[in-house]
Amino acid sequence: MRRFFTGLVVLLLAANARAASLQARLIRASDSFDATDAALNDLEPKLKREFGFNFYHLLGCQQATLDQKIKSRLDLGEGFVLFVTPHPSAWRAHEVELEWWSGNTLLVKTVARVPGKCSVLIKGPGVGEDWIILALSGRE
Amino acid sequence: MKAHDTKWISALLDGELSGLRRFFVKRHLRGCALCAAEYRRLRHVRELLATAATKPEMGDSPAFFWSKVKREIQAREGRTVAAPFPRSSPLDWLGAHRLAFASVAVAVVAAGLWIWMEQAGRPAPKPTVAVAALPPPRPIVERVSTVIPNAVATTVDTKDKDVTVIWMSGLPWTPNMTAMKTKFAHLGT
Repeated sequence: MRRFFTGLVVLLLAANARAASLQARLIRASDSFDATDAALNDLEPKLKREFGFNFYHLLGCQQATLDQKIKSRLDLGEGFVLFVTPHPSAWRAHEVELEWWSGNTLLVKTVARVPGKCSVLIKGPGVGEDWIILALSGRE
Repeated sequence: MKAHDTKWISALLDGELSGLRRFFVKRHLRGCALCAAEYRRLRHVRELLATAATKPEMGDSPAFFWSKVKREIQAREGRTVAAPFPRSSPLDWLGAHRLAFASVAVAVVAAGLWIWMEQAGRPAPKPTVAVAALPPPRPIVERVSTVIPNAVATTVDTKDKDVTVIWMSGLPWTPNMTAMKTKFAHLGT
């Protein structure tokens, strides 16, 4: 009986851990573009509500699976790199430690929980009239 | 009746069958030449017996015969005799209770019709689905920090429940992407 419950817990933990992943998208928000990239259709209404720009351009997109419990490096382009460290406990599969770097500069460090279908948007540096935004979306 | 059983033919000739069983035996006789021939043969035998029946002659006088019967009755008085109970099939039972059966059938049909008409007059009930009232998942920022001088990173509440915004203010501004790369490459936090 003890083995059965141990196996059950391991299976549950494995299933829980296998399901979680995190998608990172580097976005340039601007009013001077012609249209928003189709890859950002799911986020566009939220981006417009939060940041007010008319158009959003995808600069880079990477995905990190959180089942390995190891630190991942996501190169998002334009010199931006995101380090994702999943929480060691499988019960907190969607919790990650994030470090957003630009070149040799650590822009922001945060610990966040990003469940599936939820997003964390980070307003980054300004470039001309535009803004750089990092969008983190949980995936089941 | 499917088998060629002379028992049923004899019973039919004796007038012992009634109801559905009589109907089935007669129907079988109409379609089965073998049984029909047997039926005719048995009927012929019975007709012969009926025409050649001899009147029994009593050896005793009626008074003496009756006295013997009375004596036999008195001798057997008090003795119990096991009379064979007639076995009846479900068809016999149905035949005996066909009125009650028909009444019950009519009542069941009437009740079903009434229920159906009641249901037809009402709007169809909406399917109820039990949904657990789980709160929607929300992104949570437990802590956020930046080491860039004069810059601040704060969490901002949003109208969208599935979105959390981290707002960084005080970051160095650059006119274009190339300048930004150069700027942050040499900031060296």
